[in-house]
Amino acid sequence: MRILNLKQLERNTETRLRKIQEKYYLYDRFSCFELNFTGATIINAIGRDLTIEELVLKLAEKFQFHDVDTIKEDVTSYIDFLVEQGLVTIRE
Amino acid sequence: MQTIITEDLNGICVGNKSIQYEAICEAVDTLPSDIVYLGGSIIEGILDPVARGMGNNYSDIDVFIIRDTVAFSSTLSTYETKYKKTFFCDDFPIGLDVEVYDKGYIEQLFQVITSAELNKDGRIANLFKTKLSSDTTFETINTFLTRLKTSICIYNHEQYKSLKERAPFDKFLELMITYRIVGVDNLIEDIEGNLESEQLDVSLECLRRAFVKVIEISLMKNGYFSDREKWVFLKLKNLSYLNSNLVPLFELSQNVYRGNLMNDTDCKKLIQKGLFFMNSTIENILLGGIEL
Repeated sequence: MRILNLKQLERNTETRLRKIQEKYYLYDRFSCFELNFTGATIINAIGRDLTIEELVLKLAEKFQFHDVDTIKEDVTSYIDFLVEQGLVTIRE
Repeated sequence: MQTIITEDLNGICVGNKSIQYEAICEAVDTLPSDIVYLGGSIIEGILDPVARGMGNNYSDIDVFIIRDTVAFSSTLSTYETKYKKTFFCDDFPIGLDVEVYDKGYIEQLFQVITSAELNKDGRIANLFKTKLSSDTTFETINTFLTRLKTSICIYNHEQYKSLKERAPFDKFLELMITYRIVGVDNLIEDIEGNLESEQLDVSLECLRRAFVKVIEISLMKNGYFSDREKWVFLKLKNLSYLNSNLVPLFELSQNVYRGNLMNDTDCKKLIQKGLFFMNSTIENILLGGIEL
């Protein structure tokens, strides 16, 4: 299923995002992943009514990096990874 | 009926009882180099709009004396620790709890807080114990700074001003927020575990314990100290009038502490809602409130 909007996704309720010193960690009872700030910010936005296009433009503006195709590719593969790991599920 | 509390240049009135600053200085045997100030619920209620409603007819006034080390060591008291001596004055219509602190310890405390760094390999709870005395904890420091932050100086105003300017209030709040988040995380496991095993009363109790910490964290994130859990509800209510971002937290806290939860299904839903809310509040704070 193609993800067009973050509202199509839902965080696994057991996941926690925490910051230790300057690093972000996403974990549940079984696994733990180190994230950068962008990854943490996207996790925090999961479930909100925000299209992938809007997300990409916001990231481009926030980080002053305007290669939107690369950002979109990265965002899509990151979301795929989160779904694969069961950290995020696709709403029916 | 709410107690009317007022303050002027010479003293404080609580209901129909009053006390003069000069009389307090005499009663506690003030030394020329002492810094003397008043703190606690009555004082917070007078000075801070967010604390409006704190203090009543049964409240005592806390008198703080910061005293040179030599004079401190010879101060008589009812209770004492390495750095603090406590005694009481019952000769006034309002009770006085007097705490005398060793000035050398306070200076050292400020330095340790200013240079403190969180180490992922160390337990945050032990951050101050190793560098100061073993009975110096987040809670004891929080109490000291809460009462200094909102206080009325009654003796040695210039030194008091300098003490407050040097106090690392913001740095301590940062550390305290992290400490409280660790406390919430420990409780979240209890909430989830007991919810899963259908122990709803236990899960709800853990949720309430965690929720009070989340309220405290939210107050701290807005720059407000609080050293007693009982007052955080009042402060949140007052602050939510000034900051609408806190209204959802206030409304949910009303359900968590005052809602009718006799029905198991309603109770489960509230616990799940509370968990989600606490987690997203903490995550937003960790991300610095930056949202996409």
